[in-house]
Amino acid sequence: MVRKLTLSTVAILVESIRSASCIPLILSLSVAIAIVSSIDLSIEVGKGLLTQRIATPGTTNVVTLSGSDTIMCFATLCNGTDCYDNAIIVISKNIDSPCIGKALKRALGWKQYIVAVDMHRIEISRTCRSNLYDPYIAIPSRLLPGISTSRCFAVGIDKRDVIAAISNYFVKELSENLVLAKVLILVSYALIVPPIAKRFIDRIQIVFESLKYCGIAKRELTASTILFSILLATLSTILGIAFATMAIHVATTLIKCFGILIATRPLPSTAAIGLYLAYSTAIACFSIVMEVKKRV
Amino acid sequence: MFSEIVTTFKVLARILWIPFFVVSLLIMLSVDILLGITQNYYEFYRIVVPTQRNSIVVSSLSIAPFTSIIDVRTLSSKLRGLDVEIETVTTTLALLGDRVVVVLGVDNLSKQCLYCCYVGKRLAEKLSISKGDLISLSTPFLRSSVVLRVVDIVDDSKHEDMILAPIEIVRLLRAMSYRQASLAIIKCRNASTLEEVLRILGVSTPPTQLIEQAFLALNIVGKRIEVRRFENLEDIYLARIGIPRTVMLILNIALSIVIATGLYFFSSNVQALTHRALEVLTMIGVTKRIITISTIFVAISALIAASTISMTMIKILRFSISIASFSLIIDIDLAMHALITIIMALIVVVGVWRGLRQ
Repeated sequence: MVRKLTLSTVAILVESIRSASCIPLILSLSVAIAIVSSIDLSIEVGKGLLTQRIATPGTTNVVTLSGSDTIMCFATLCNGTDCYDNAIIVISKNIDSPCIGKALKRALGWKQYIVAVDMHRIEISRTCRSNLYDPYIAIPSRLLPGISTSRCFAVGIDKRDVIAAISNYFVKELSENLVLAKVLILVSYALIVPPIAKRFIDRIQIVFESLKYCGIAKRELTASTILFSILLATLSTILGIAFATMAIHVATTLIKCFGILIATRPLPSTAAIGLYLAYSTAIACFSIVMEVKKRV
Repeated sequence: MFSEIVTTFKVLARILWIPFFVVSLLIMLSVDILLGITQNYYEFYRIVVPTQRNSIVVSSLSIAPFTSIIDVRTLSSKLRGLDVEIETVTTTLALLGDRVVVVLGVDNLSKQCLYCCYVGKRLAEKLSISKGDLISLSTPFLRSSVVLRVVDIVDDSKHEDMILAPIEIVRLLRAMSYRQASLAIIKCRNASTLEEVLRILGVSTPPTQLIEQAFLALNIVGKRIEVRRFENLEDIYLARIGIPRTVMLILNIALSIVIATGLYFFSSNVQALTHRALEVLTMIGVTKRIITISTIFVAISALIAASTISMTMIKILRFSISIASFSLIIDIDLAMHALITIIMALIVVVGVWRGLRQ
């Protein structure tokens, strides 16, 4: 049984290679996979470029609204002439004297900063050393005894890589945007394969007739066709993915001519390879085996 | 001969029209969606920049949209004495939870509430934010996140996917100084003032050229500031990474051709579907040339129908995509769609001709 199966599979394989009739079938399967893979890989290149182009400032202190490390309060901020309501100040035990964050000072550009909370009035003359307070005014808790907590809230401080989070979000968003187009490409190519498979079987029909004449049973012929289809689908998937990877790598190298240096050389993920292999195997088996079953 | 073509067309259309139509429609739809997505990404920045006639948009050659910084004070001093109005746009991208959002600076909001913001209705629904909530925004330009109170939810079509905050807070998020902005729009009274402004900024224009709007990018080259003129705002960002718009166009067409190769494989194997009909037609004396012409007609008519339906489907179904939390509807460029249809028609003709010749 195994010998017969191997022999008939080899016979189909040899004839399809000899007559070159499997080329359109391999191409139609691999082109779809190549297009979809190159879309996936270009998203990865985009992610790499995004991370590479924006200077990484390291981790960012992210204020979480469920913690209890620090207290923030709404206060009034005045500059000598005008007052601004609902400014957020940080009240902390960890600082010695009131200070203003560098970024806040730069963005406001005032000459004088006066904070008014409850009955307290504090003038700020120093810039904070810690970048934790960059966007705020920080006041030592000892300077605000008995402050009403109705306008305050407790927060926690987490460390987070904002650049990575932004890159991941854009990649996720772009991948979701492209899902429909990728599905449409795969479905349209799945419809293209059956007529090509029909023509392929027309061309190598002589092999099936000869095998039948040699005493190979219908069941063995079907099994060897399935084996052949799996081989063909695997080859098409490898070709498609290899072509996409090569095209993206060549493109990232050529783009150097435009002065863009891309360090990322993405490779397809195992999950993607598995998915495309399953897709091409299903399409190839369905199209070829159905056609062979009709004839033998 | 004409009646022969019509009869052959009718016979082949019964077998081939629907398969050709379905395959062409799927391929056309995927191409339209891909091109629509590219177009939306390309023109996304335009959402926050109100441009109009007799205006000059000044930006810097920044690394990406929403990162440009220009010095408004220097620009104002250069244009002092001219009959122009300078409007600034201050905007940035920020991270809210795991989502990237666009934050637009609004003048005169800070007096009532400095650390406050308004959230667009659609964005608020997506993030389950309501009036009175506190939100924490992080950007790559600031080492600590900024907490803001949501004053209200804005139900306005232009701002439904973004956050509106006092201009001082957006400067803070983008780490700008009070003298800087993302963009400046110089509104001129008339075309002659616009030409005068361009001259002062050092942009030479041919005397015969009529200018209605200009997009300028300032770039520091050594110790001097270089001014470059562009066709539109998006080109400034492509120019920064060195890609002219033509390259984008060529890439789009190349991508469409690669996707449309499926039509070639399908067209060159039509005889697999029409095997019996072709035998009968040949037996009754229909020549190979007439069969080829009729098949091409069937394929082209199906392709044109698919192209029209695809365009209508995109318009009616209003496929939406998300860019920086903005829900954008995919739209198609009619000229591009027509060009792609023509290219696909050529691919089909070559495919049918080669397929039936074998």
